[in-house]
Amino acid sequence: MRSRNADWPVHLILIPVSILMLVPFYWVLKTSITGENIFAYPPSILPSDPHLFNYVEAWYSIPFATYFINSILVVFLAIVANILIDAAAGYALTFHFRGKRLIMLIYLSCMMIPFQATIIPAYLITVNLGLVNTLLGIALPHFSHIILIFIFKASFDALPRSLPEAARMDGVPEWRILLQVMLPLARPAIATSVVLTFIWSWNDFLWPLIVVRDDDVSTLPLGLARFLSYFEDTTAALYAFVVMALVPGILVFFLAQRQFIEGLTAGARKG
Amino acid sequence: MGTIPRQMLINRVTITFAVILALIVGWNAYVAANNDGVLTGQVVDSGGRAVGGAKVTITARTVAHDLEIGSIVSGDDGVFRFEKHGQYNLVLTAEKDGVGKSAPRHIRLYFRNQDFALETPLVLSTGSTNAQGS
Repeated sequence: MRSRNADWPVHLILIPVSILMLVPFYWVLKTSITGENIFAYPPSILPSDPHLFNYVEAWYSIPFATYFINSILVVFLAIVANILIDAAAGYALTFHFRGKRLIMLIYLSCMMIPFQATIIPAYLITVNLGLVNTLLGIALPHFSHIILIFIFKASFDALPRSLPEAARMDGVPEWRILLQVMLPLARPAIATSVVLTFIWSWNDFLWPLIVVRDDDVSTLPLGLARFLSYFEDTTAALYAFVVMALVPGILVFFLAQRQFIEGLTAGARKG
Repeated sequence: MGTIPRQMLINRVTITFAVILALIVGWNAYVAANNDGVLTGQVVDSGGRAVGGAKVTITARTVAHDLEIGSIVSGDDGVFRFEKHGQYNLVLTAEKDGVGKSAPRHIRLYFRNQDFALETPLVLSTGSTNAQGS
């Protein structure tokens, strides 16, 4: 068994790399609380005379609360839909049926098509559904992600087959087996789904830009772009806006990080 | 009827969101108690004597522009009081013929219409040009 001390060379490399990766975040945070010129030379490492007035400026300069609530609602819709749809699809793929390999192949193929390539058909579908300029329309493309279907499948595959079989013998319908037997045991997969869906839909810019017409259904990334176009010389307030937009995602990740990592590695550890 | 397991009620997720909720409620209570928009201060001359009858002007400052939104005349004791100023970022100036003009006093507040009392008076002098932060 390896001693913990044997890991120090790895840590020696990882710690500076981690610090290096955190520098941009620190710089954004520092500028947001000081307003110091980011191009100043020599750069100051520690913030001088920090204050929160740039956050006040960002809050009042644009309808931040509206954008924030819209983003929360879009993320909520996407997360609920992902857990239900992806878990159902992942559960179906744990069965052996004719054409399963073909479906898996189609899923894998679809993963290789970038969203930008399907944006016109996605837009036409949204128009036909009458969902343009609605929060549901913004959330719609995030309702299912193929990678999450595979994560749910891997998580369900790792559970003993005897569990759903026992429930089936007791006459429990499949949807109840999924919701009441399989899903409660797949918490890492749910956490992974929540974190990834949150980050993808929270940060999405291109799709809302296409389907949103009015300011009152805009999300934070659109708000950020509008802020930038209205006020060019407001670096500190802009960075304050960025920090406010970043915090929920970081918070969700920290809350679910253990399960998130377990969920991502569930398939790898199986067997 | 079954009881909710303790672990479902007290865990890092519920505690985090409870703390956030408490902060939001606390902050909104503080804002509600301090958002009458009362801005008070005093105008003095370069010798520190109160100046009555000075015109105090309030200018709203946004990232886009400065906009004068009102003015008031200080009382005999040099004290002035704005009500419902409705701003979060503003500039105060005072002037009186024969006494001089104050340097613009930039005031940034934590929320719109926040009550605020100037800690140091606006000092009238001839030829004041430097801005002072607050």
